[in-house]
Amino acid sequence: MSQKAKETEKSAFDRRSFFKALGAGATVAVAPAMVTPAQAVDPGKDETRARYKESDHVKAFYRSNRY
Amino acid sequence: MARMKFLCDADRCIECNACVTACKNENEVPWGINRRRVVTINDGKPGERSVSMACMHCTDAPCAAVCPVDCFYTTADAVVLHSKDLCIGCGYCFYACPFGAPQYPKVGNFGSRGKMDKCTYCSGGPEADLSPAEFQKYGSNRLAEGKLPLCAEMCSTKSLLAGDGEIIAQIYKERVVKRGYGSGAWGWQTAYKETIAI
Amino acid sequence: MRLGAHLRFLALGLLLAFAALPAAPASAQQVNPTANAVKEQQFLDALKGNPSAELQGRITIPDGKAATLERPAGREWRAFHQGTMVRIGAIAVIGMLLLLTVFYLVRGRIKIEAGPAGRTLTRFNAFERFMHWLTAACFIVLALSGLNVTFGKAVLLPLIGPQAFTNVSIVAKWSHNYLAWPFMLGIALMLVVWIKDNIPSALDLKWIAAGGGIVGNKHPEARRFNAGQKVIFWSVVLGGAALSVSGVYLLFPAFAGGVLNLQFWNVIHGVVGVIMIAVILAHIYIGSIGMEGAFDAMGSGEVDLNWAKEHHSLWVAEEMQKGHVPGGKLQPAE
Repeated sequence: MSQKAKETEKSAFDRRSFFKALGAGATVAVAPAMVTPAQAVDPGKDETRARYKESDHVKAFYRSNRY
Repeated sequence: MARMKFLCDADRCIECNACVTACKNENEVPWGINRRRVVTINDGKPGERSVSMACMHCTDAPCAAVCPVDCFYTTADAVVLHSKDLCIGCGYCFYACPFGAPQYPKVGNFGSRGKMDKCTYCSGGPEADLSPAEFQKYGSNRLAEGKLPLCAEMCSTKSLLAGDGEIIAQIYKERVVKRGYGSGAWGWQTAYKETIAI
Repeated sequence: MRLGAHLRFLALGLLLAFAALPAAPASAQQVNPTANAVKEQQFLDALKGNPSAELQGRITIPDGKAATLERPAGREWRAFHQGTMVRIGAIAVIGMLLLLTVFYLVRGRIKIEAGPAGRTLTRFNAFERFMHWLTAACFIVLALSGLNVTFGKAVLLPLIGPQAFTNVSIVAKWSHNYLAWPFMLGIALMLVVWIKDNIPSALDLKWIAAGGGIVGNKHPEARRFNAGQKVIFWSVVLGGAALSVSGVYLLFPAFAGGVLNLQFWNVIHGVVGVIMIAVILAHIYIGSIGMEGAFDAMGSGEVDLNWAKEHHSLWVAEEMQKGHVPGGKLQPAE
């Protein structure tokens, strides 16, 4: 198993190291601020409003999980 | 504000796949799609562990960041949802997701795979809460009913935890301290950039 | 590239089994059930050595791809796609447009120095013009729909709103997926028809040394295609091939051999795509407003004799010898 993995690792080396280098380059070259952040919560919109409530139902779930 | 998370206590999971089935049934998930799945690591070897995995509702979700049409949104519960009306089925979220959550209803090329489908944390989509349109596109909205995702609620061994991240982390910590071992909060480092220190 | 090999390599996560860590301390009387249990920390450690590591296991549902539990490599691809790709694309496209504007302001339109002769000769026949415009029309749609994927949400989405932008993007996606095929056909035809006139030769070095007549006012001699045109030809053929191979993999993900490969092909497709757009912008410029008489070559196919003498002197000489120049036997150029 470990021998097989080693052999396949070698055959995939070129592409893999390319992407790794590219990924590393991207991470270095791009300031974290450049990376578009995932869309932030917009509490103004109805669909992003909180729905979770710590109802009795949910409390019972938490309690039963402590057993 | 509560931050919704999933936590699979792999030391309790018996790979019964009931969470997978419950999810499919509760949300009427299309054929070929499994929003939740159970993966067994080191199957058949001493110390094998099974982990139930679905969309982890990441902090700063990669799927949302790479979406070319910005169809994702994060709710105040930190649940990552998307609009199937806006999705163009391009597959970019599928490239970016660390957990293999985004799936497509049709087999074939990315020209015709249909709208992306993934776990909604049982909290529907952009349509009105508990409306038939919401159910048809995204499945049930248990969060709006004051409940938690069904996969976690019906877990027979109480392996799969859902709910407020702080509370379920505390529950997991107590378990690990009491029994003396734990294989870690699978996926938390990748999804939330944090882990549970015990 | 062997797809099977890739798939097996992805199973690296399984190697975790052989790196069993000592278990958490348990009291001496107790049997510790987790002494050599696989732990998440092992995967996190493996990730430090190899960011492309995937954690794979066994699954009982039919979808075999779901057996990958975690694949954090998407973070690198995301950083590329949202950062580097945006930057490369903006530099290539906006940079080239600026460069061409500056060039136009400095150099102006390159005129036929001797003035139009009024007599023409055939430069491209109907079939050559057909394959050029087939490729060109497809490329313009492919380029715009491709740029939409990277820049649309920043540029177009705020202007027209989410639903309209989605409608545009769906049309763009379908156009991109289907026009790719005639585009590939056009590239293949151009390769076959024009390769014989595009073999690099020593003459090209002289042409480049003389600045191609672009910088100075003298016109270095050239056969049917000068070195600049050969650069365009080979960029289109090689770039088109790279776009075709990567694009076909992206279109048929089942054959790409996993998500990591799709990420790789996406990078190739994006980078080559924006470079091609920059090259073609320059090509469009010089073939239209940049040079008097150049558009006729692909428009009517008939170019002015004086234009041809100035830019392709050796080609005109060859055509005259063959008797392809109307108006009788002329003295060969020069």
